[in-house]
Amino acid sequence: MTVELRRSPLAGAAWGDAATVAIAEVPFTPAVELRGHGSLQAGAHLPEDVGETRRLRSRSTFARRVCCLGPQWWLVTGEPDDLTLVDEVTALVDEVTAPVDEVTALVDEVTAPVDEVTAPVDEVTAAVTFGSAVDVSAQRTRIDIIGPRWADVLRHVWPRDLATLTVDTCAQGLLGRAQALLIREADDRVAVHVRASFARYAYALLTDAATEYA
Amino acid sequence: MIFHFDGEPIAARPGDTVASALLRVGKRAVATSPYLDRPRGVTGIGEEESGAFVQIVSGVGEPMRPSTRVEVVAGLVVRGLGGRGGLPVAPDPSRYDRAYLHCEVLVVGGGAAGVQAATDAVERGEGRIVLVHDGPLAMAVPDAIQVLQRTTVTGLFDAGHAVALERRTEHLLAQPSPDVARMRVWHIRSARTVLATGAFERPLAFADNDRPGVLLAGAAATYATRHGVAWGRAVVVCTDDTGLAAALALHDAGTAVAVVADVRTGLVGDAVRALAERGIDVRQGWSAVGTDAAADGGVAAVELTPVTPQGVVLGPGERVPCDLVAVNGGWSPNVALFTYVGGPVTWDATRVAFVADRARPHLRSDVTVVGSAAGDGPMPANPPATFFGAVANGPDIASRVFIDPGRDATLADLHRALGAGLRSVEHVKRYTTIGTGADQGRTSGVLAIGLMAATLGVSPGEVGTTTFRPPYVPLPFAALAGRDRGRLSDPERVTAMHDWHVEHGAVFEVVGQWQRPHYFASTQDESMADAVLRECAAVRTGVGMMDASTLGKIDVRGPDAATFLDRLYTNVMSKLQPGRARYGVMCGADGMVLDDGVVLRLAGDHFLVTTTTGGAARVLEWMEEWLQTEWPDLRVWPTSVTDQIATVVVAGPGSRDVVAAVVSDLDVSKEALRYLAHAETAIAGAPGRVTRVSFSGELAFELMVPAWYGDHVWRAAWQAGQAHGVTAYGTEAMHVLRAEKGFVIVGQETDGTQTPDDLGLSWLVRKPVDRAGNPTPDFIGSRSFARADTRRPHRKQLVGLLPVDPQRQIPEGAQLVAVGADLSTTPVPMLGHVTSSYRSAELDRTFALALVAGGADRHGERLLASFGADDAEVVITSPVFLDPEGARRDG
Repeated sequence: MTVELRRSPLAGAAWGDAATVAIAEVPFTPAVELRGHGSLQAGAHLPEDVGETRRLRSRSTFARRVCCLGPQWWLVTGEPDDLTLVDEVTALVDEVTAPVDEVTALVDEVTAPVDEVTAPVDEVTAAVTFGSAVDVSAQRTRIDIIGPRWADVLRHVWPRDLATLTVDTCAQGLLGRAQALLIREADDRVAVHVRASFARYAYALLTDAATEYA
Repeated sequence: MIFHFDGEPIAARPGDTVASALLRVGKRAVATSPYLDRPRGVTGIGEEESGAFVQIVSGVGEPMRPSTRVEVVAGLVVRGLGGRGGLPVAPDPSRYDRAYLHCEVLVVGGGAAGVQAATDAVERGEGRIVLVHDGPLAMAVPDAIQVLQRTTVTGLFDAGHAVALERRTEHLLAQPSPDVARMRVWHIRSARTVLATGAFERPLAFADNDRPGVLLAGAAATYATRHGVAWGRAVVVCTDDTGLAAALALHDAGTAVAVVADVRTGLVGDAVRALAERGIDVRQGWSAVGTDAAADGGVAAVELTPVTPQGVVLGPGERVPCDLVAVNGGWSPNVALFTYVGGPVTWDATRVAFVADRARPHLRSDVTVVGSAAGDGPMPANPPATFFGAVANGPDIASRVFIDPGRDATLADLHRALGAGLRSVEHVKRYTTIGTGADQGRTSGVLAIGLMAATLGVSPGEVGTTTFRPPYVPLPFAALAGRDRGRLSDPERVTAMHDWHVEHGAVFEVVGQWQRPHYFASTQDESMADAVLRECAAVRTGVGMMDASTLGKIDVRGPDAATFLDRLYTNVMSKLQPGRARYGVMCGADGMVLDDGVVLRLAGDHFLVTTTTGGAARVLEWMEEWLQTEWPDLRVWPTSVTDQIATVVVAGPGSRDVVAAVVSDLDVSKEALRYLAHAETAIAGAPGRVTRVSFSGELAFELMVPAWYGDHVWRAAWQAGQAHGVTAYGTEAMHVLRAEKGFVIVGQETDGTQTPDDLGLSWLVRKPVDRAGNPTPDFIGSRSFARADTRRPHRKQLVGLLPVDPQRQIPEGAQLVAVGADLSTTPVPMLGHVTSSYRSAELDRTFALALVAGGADRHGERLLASFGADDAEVVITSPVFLDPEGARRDG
C-alpha cells in the first residue's frame, strides 16, 4: 500500500481561524464498522447506548475511539496515521477463536478484565466475537469544526440539540441534507463524519454556515 | 433622521415606526385599498394593522409590510401601497439562514405577562428560557433569558416545535456586511411553551369607518403617549372601559377629546369620574354611525347618535368635527398559536371574547396561555358591551361599512353571504374573503362573527371562529429557503474521479444525487449525439473507461450470509464459489423486479453486493428490514461501502492490455481470470480488486480500490490506455452499449410491474425443485410467481424494436399500437411502449427496447409507434442486437 497515492475527498481543505471557528478536513482517518450478535452484554465494556463513545487504549500509541451507532453497531475510528487500526480491529472477526487475553490487550476497554469476568472462557470469547467488521475508512471523511463558535455554526445545519452533544459523545442525523455522524472530540472541537461523496457539499454548507462567525 | 415616503422626506425620531413618524407629521392617508381605491391610513400599532401597508423600495425591497412594523432608519425609502404590492424585479443578493434552538421554556410575547412568565421560570430555576418578541419589551428581562428580538413566532406545531421569523438587519443604522443573513427562520424545540400573545382591540362597524384617522383607541393613545403624536381634536367611540382609559390618556397627552361616545349606560368608576373632572363630554348610550371626509380623504367629522345596546339607531344624531376617531369595540385575545396545536377556544359572554378554553386541554404540545391572551385580568368597573356597531338604514350604507378593510370586504358582502344561505363562518369567510388579508382577520374576524350572530339572532359562540392556520405573519420564500439555494439546494454527490471528469469536458447528468458524466465532449463543438457514437465505437473497437463508482455497494457478512442472499435474490448465491461473481435480480414480495446487480463472493461468509446507483439506499434498507423484522435469527450484517470503493470500468477489445499494464502481480489472461471471476491485487500500487464483468458485451474489467485511490488509479489506467487510444465514456454510451446487448436497466425498462420473466430473465429464477427433485428454498417474491396474473401469457415482455426507417429514432415512452389501428378513435388499443431508444454506431442505425404484450412470441411482427402527432413503423426483434452467443466478452 502506498499512502502517497491517496487523495482525500477534500484534499485537506481548511477554512477560518480556530480563534473563532475553523473548518478543516482531517484526511485519511481509519474507520471500521463493527456489527455484533449474541452475548455482547457479557462483554460489558463496549458502549451500549446510542450516542455513547469510549476512548480505547491500544497497543499502539494512537488514540482510538468506539462509537455506539445503534444496537450492536459500532464505529471504531482512529487518528490519520494509525495504519494498523483496520487490520487489528477486523482481526476481531477474522480470529473468532483468539484467546481472551490477546483480545483484551488489543482493546483494553472493550472487554472487562479477565479476572472480573465470571462467565466461562468460551462465553467471554463469544462476547467479543463481532459478526462483521468492515473497513469503512474511505466511506466517510472527517471534517472538524474547531474553535469557541463551533456550536453557532452547527446550529444552522444540525437540527438536534447540541447541548446534549457533550465531550466524548456522538450523534447521528442530517447535516443540512447529508447524513452525518458528529463526535464531540473536545470542548471546542467537533468531528463531522460525512460520506465521501457528500464531503464537498458538507464542507460548502459548513463554511457557508460559518460566514458570520469567522 | 430622515426617510422618504412617496418621494417626500419625512423627519423621524429614534424608536419611530413608519406609522408613528407619518402620524406625527400629520400624514393620515398612507395607502389605497386593494379593490375600491379608497384612501387608507394607520389603524393600529402592531401586527393587527389593516390599513397602512407600505412597499419598501430601499435596499432589497419588500412588496408589502404593515407600516406599524417597519422601524425607521436613515435612508429608508417606502411608498404607500397602491392596492397590492409587487415583488422587486432585481435579484436579491441577501443571505437568509435557518437556525435550530432547543430550550426548556419558550415564552411567546414580550408584554407584561410574557416577561413575567419568563422571570417566574428563572426564579423557579428552570434552565434555557427563550423569549420571542417583536416590538418594545414591556419591562426589563433578566439576563438568564435569551431574548429573540424582532422575531415573530409564525407557527406552533406538535411536540413543542415552534417556527419563528427574525428580521435581523432592516433596523440597523449602518449598512450591515453582506455576510449577515437578512432574515433567519428559527426552528425552536421547547419542553414547554408559554403563550403571552396578548389581545387585539376590535374596531366597530359604521359607515365609512375605513377613513384615515379612524384608529383603534389603544393604538391612538399609545401614538400620543409613546411617540408624541399630536392628534388635534379627537372623538372616542367605545364599548368597554379601556376606551375610557384611552380617552383619558389622549387628553392627558394634550389631545382635545371632544366627545366620548359609549354604547353602555349607567357607567360608574374612576375613569368616568376622571373624564368628568376634565370636563370631557361622555355620551352614554351613544355610538358612531358614519364619518365625513376631509380634503386628504381622512376623517373630518364623525356622526354620533343614540343607539340601543342591539345597535338600533335611535337618532337624532350629531355631527362632531374631529381629526381622530378612536374606536374601541372590545378586545379579542390572540389565540391563533394556541389553536395551531389543537387548543380549543370558547365564547366568554362576560368578557365578550373568544378565549382559550383551558378547561379542555386537548393539546398536542405542552402549551399554557397567560395574560390578556387568556382573557385574564380583573373585571372592569363596567362590564363590556356585546356590541359590534351601529348602522343606519339607507340605500348603499352597508357597502360603506367596512369589516375587513384589507380586503375591501363590507357589511353588504356579509349580508349577501347570509342571504345566499351560508351559515357556517368558514363558508362566509370564503364567500366574503373577510379575514384572508395580510392581517389574517386579527381585527375583522370577531367583528364579522359578531355581526353574523346579530343578523342570525344567535350568540357569537354559536357562530364560532374560523380556523387559524400558520404562518401567523407572512414568511418570505427566501427566508424559508434559507441557505438551501444554488449549489446547496440539493447536495451534489461526486466520485473520487470527479475532478478528472471536469478537466476532460464531461457533461454531467444527475442520477439520484450523483453527478455522473453523461458524455465527454472532445471539443467544444461536439454534439452529444456525435460524442456518444464516438464513445460507443471506442468500446466496441478499442478501449473505453467509465467511472462506475456510483453503483451501490453493500458488504454482506456473517455465517448466514449465503442463506440470506438466497432468500433475497431469485437465483442461488450460496453455490457461488469465493472468487466468483454472479449477476442477480431481487424482487419485491409482489414478484416484481426491485433491483439488480452483480454479487461477488469474497469468502465463505463474505459477499460484496452491488446495486443500481439509485437503488443503493433502498436495497440496504430492504436488507435491514428483513433481517430485523422477519429473520432476526440470521447471523448476517450488511454494511454500506458505496463511498468506500471507487470503481473504474475498462471495457473493449483492448481492455486486457490496459489492465495488464496497471496490474503487475495478477494474470489477467482469459484462462487465468475467467469471465465473472475476481481477484485481489495491487492496482497501480493501490490495494484493489479486479473483476471480469461486462455491461457492454465486450471484454471488460472492473477495477475496485478504496476511494482514496480512485483518482490515482483512474489516472494510471488512463495513462496506460494512451497507447491503446483509450476513450472516456459516460452514462449515455453505457446505456446504448448495454441496450445493444438487451441488458435491462432497473428503472428504465422496469416500473415496478415487471417480473424477471417479463424481462427475459427467467434463467435467473430458480425452479421450485432442483434437478435432483428436491425443493429449493423460497425467495422473496417466489410465491407471487404462482399468481394467475403473473403467469398470464400476454403480459408485456421485453423485445427489441428496429424502426423500418433505420434513421428514425423513436422517442422513449412512445406508445405501440397495431399497424393500421384507427388513431382517430380513442382509446386506441395499446400494445406496449418504448423504454429505451438509441442510435447505434455498431449497428449503423437506430434501435429500441420496448415492453410489448406477448412480445416474446411476436418477433418479426410490425407495430406502429405513435408519439405526439407523428408515428413510425417498427419491427419486433430479439432484444439482443449484438453477439447473441457472447463471443466478445472474453476478448
